[in-house]
Amino acid sequence: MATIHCPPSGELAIIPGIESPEKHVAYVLKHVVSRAKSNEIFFIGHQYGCHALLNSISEQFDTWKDRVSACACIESSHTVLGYNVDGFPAWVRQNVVGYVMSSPEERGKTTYMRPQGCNFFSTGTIEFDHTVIEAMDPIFRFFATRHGANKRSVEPRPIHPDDPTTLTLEGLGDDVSVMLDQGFNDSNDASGDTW
Amino acid sequence: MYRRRVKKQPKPVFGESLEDFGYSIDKSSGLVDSEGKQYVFDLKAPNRDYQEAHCHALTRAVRRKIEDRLAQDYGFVKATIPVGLDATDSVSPQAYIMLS
Repeated sequence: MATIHCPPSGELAIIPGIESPEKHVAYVLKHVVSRAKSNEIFFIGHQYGCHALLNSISEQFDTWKDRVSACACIESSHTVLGYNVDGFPAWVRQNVVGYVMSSPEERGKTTYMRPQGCNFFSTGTIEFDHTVIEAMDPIFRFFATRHGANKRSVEPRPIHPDDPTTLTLEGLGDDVSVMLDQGFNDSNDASGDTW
Repeated sequence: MYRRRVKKQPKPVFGESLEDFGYSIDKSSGLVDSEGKQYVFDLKAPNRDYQEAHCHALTRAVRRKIEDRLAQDYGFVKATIPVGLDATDSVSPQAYIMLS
């Protein structure tokens, strides 16, 4: 994945090794979060931070694939296309949920987005700034379903109304039954398909 | 040929806290003034430079408020990055994150 370099301005000093959002998140994951003794690690990202987060997880995938309980990405700009990390797209499908603006009538609707590789939950607000507020309750209900769950399990999770990764999957057509019947595994990766 | 010399306005100075701006956070987490009116950035303000400086300063005040709440209500502490930087070093480029 590409890394965007932020050119230094007259007022800002660039910290060596943390020259971009991607490098900043990668640094914090590697040097701070990985040393935490917590058994349960949940991430909430916002906008470009979601890309930086998932990019960092893909770079340190062996470290994080069995440690992260769930990720919530609010108004995310991430994608799973272009990553050549074994198991990463399937991991994203199982553990990441996007939270987006929507019309009030679509509140609670879950839609699978192939480029982003995960389900998206409609928050029912058409105001961008309110997405965070509207997403908090469903995010923590989602996290509650993952609390204490076996993170190493590759079995498909049973459908749960508070876990959007188990719901949906509007827009996939026939792929829906494939995913529900066979679980989420790499053989169903969408990275080579057209949308 | 003569050109009018544009006089640069002095940089406006704002307060540090939300109270200095006359704003507060209401029960629904909205940024409101003393009359309960929600903050709105005026795109058509005649003095755009002032408007933007005011917005940036207000954003910094909101960030300080959030950090204060994280510290007081949830026990978050500031941690400097890069990790291992000498606490007395105020020259090297550095930033901070909030940890609990």
